[in-house]
Amino acid sequence: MSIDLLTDENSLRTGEVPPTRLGNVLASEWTKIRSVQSTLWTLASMFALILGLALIADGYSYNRAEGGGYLGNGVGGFIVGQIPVVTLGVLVITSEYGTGMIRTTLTAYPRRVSLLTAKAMVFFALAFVLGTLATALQLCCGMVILGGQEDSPTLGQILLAVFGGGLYLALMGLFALSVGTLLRHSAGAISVMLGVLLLPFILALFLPTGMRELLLTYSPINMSASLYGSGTGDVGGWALLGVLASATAVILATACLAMRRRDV
Amino acid sequence: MIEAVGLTKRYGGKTAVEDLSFTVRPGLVTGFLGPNGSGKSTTMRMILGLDTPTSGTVTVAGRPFRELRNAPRTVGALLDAKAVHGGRSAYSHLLCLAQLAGLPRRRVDEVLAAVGLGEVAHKRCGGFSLGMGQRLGIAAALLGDPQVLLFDEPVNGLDPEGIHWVRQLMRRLASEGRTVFVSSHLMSEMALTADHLIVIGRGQLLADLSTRAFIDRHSAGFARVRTADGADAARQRERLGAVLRAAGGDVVAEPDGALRVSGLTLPRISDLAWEEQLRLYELSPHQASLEEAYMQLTQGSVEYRSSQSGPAEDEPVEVTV
Repeated sequence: MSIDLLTDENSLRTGEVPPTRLGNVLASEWTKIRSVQSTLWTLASMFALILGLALIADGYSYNRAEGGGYLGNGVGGFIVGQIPVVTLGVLVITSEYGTGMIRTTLTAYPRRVSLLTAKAMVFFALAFVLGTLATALQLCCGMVILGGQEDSPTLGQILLAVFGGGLYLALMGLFALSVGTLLRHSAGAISVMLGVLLLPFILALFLPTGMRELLLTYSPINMSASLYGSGTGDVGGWALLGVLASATAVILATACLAMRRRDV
Repeated sequence: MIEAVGLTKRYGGKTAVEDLSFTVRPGLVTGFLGPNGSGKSTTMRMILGLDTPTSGTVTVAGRPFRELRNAPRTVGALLDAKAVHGGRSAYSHLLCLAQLAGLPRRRVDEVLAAVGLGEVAHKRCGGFSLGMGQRLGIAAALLGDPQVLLFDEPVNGLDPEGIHWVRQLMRRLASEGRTVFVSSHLMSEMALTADHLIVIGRGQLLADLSTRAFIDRHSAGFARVRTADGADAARQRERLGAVLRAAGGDVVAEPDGALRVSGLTLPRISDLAWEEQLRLYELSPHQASLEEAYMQLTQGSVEYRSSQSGPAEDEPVEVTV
């Protein structure tokens, strides 16, 4: 075995070494997220759930007087469809800890907050684009199947469901990514996220009225339903998204702090 | 150049590394030796900014690692071969690292070819053998053509061909003027590869000296001497032993009836036997194993607190054979 390091005639130009920029880290994180199978499977599951469940509901409503409009028919798929997105958000960071890849990454790029920021940006962009695409396709199908049968939702309602839906999926995934950073363990973080998604709604059933209303209004399940115009409480869909965005910002900042302080 | 000053790391009440100071110079292969659990990996992780020292500092090329402007262009490291995502191909793994340093794609092909993984570049690296994983780790370390290289136990689990390859590679990198820092728990391996040795035990510095000096100091030679067989073999052996002791030799009886003599040259032993009219059936030179000397050094690491060059009372008798 010869050792040819190509140090004399290699593709690296000698001279001033350029400092790394955010663009470098974004490119690297994009390579990472598109080169593992889990990305494909989780996103495919998201599409299958969001579109599939809505199509079943739309098919049922077709030529029937009862049953919801196509906007309301989308809620079930949207609620279940966020589980694979949350899983991907967790895996983006915990797979690095689980495999030891994080040590290789941080040895090549020691600025940890900047690394986590790049990871968050790449994931958020991917989840937002594909999440919006899924909700848009969902409503398009509904429009085609049930179009002539019912009163059309307003433009505002459609924008909230499509873009609000995409934004919600990306934010919830980012929340999961932050939880994954804090726990550094795939199964642990996914369990916590399932708790975050489902527990507030379930717990609310067993609480006194005042607290029940509060917990119910801000539960992720009600947030999801509100985006499709079928939520309870008197807080609007965009306002609930604002609440989710704030909560995500807080936990992401906490994750950044932890990442900077901890040993790997 | 790697410089550690008073490096200390505590985990709760347990001290992993204590007041470690050393310098790793360019142009040499520096071996970092210590038994398992002696703090080698912890030290490596502190050099690479993965763990924060409890106190003390360590710099690479004059800066703390986490302040390097473009780490892969300055430092390459192989920490452990399994620190890759098994679902990713070797090419994608190296590509995401190359992009971090702003390196072009063809550099990935170059290092893959250099370590001999060109043909499996697009296979999942989870299916790689230990040797292939090690080569992939080395490819990652070489990506940025760095001046400083760290290898943590690079020959662990490699076959002889792989060990030879790694050994040659490290010598080559050092000869190009790079700083090469290699940890190992095998003295015999380091005696072949390293120019300089830094030995630690229980997180403390035990020795910091050239490999030549370590060998000179710790591998005492001795002679095996056997007198003629026969009825009075035991008596002859006693007479020879007495003569050699009187001449200043250190004599120990071996289980097979030979004598182990140190402190006297072979011709001198022969002359003394001749003068005493004793016939010798064996007179052969031997080297004590470096591994033994190294184990003595590290086993004593509790008693010899801050010794710079090893325990003085273990100083072997100098002998030229």
